[in-house]
Amino acid sequence: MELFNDLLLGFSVALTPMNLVYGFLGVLLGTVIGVLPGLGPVATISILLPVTFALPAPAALIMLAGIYYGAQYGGSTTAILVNLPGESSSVVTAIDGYQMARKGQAGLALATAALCSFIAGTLATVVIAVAAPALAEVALDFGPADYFSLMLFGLVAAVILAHGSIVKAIGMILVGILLGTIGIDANTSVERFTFGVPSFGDGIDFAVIAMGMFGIGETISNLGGTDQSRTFVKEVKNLWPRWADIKRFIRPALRGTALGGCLGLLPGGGPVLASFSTYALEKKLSKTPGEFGKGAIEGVAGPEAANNAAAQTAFIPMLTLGLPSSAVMALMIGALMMQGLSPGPQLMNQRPDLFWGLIASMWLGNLMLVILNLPLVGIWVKLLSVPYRMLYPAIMLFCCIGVYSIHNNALDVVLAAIFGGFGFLAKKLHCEPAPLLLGFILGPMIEETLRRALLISHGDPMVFVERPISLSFLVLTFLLLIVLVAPMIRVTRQRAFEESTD
Amino acid sequence: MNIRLSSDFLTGLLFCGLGALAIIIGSDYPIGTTSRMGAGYFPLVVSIGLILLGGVLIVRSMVSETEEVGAVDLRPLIVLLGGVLLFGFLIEDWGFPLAGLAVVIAAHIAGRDFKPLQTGLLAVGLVIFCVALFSYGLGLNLPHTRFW
Repeated sequence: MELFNDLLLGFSVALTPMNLVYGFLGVLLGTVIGVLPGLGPVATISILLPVTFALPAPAALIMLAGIYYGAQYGGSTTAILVNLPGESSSVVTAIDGYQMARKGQAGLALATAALCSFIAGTLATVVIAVAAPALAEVALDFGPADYFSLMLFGLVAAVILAHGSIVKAIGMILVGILLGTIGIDANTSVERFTFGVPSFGDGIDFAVIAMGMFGIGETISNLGGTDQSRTFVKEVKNLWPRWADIKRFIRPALRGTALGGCLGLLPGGGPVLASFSTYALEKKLSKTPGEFGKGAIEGVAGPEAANNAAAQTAFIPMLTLGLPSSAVMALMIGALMMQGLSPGPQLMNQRPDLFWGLIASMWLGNLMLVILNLPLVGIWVKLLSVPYRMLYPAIMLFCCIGVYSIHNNALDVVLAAIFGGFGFLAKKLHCEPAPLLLGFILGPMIEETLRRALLISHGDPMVFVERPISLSFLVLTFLLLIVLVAPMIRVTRQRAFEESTD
Repeated sequence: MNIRLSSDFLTGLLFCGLGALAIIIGSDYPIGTTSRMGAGYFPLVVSIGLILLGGVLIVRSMVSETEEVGAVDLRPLIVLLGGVLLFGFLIEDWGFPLAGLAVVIAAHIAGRDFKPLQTGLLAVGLVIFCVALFSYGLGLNLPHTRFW
């Protein structure tokens, strides 16, 4: 019954006119940026961070979350109609979705994507509502040593599931951790790496790095690339699936939800991995695997459900442990911190309105997205014909405004330019920017918990193996590291990501 | 510009360089003891880790065949970053409208899309849109955008 009351509280928050409006703005904006290739949720959320500062905490979080899962929906529209993933998580959707569109089934593909996402979103919302409070309860017993081991586990897991070279990913995490040490050390009041600049005392703002590396850095590399000519399917008809279609896609959708929901919990797992694994699973289970790649509805249903489920369950570690599992979740933590809230197990008791309001808004957001995406699909098709040369100047301008308005400090803009250059360099060297961001967010927490744990134990490192919770995370981390060097996993991992670049 | 060096090698150099830089700058931060860590302890450990990883990458690039960095287009890098820097320098003294125009024009030059009339129209339109949305709509404090 408690769950029912909690959800009731959540809906009473999410259904206030103001939160409905911000939720709607969020999913609308999310859909737009999801449809447009070249602008992702990370950049958009970081641009909007300063804006949400003026909003009450629930409205801010509801809007930012809406952008995130709105982008997942929008990304699949572009994937199906243009064969160009609007979002990295819809890479897989493009494989069969575009083939369906070419066969004149664009409407069916879009409807399948939207309905499966909605099914997955609804189920994932229930999972969050049930699992998050239980996990938060457990997390209240965590001591500093446990948190340290948990974050170590999170970082190692993020590395395994990241694209590309593992050594480079760990390196980027360490660079992020080093960047996180900039500012006045909280324990000893020593200024670290501030170069005598007073505004560096509080550290570099996280949004500056995110916008520099994702917004500016990505734009630079996009402009360096060759022009992609888009041939897209403009005709969308027969939107509503027949009963036979529903029977075909309901099972893959449920399997995708289950698999995606589990993978979303893992740091670094998230929507991309979820959609790839589900696609592989469906292909294996199918009686006609030859149809995959030629317009199989299962190849759209499974991955779409999976990436949406993963996008939502990723909120569980963020809300209950304060542990970001992806760059977007790191931004959410940044948004909470800007509101003066510290994410972690105590958040649910301190601000039940925020916690349950956010969860209720996820379901409402999913409902709004089905409405936005199916009847209004004509508008998104039009949006696709906006050329990129109109977009990137706007993206750059929004980035500049966003960075400047964090503290009304022009120095932040200069810093963002530097990080933009660094982001471009990293991309050229095949280093992913996301691990750096994760390291930057987790770095200060890791240092703090490490120092506190060793202070309590009088410098005895055994504290990390004596506590059962800490020990289990260390064992898990160790197992992950073994997996990391095991050749079999490396091959499959490589194959999964090679398919993505085709 | 075409860089024929291995990307692993350059990344290794970058990691080693950053780690070394952090150790040098942080050399006078107190280290402390394991139970009472000073400000320098944690950054030192992380920097050493970074240098080790950089070393691994450098060695790897020498013993095995690795990918080259390949073609790097310097024009967007320099012009686009120049535009952002210009925004930073102009915004406080000259105001947002001018700084905003500069960014949009720089972006089009960077992307080889610069056409005086089109770029000008886009720039003016975007600046007016941003003033309306961010300054009047959302109440952000953008310099020199409140005329009444």
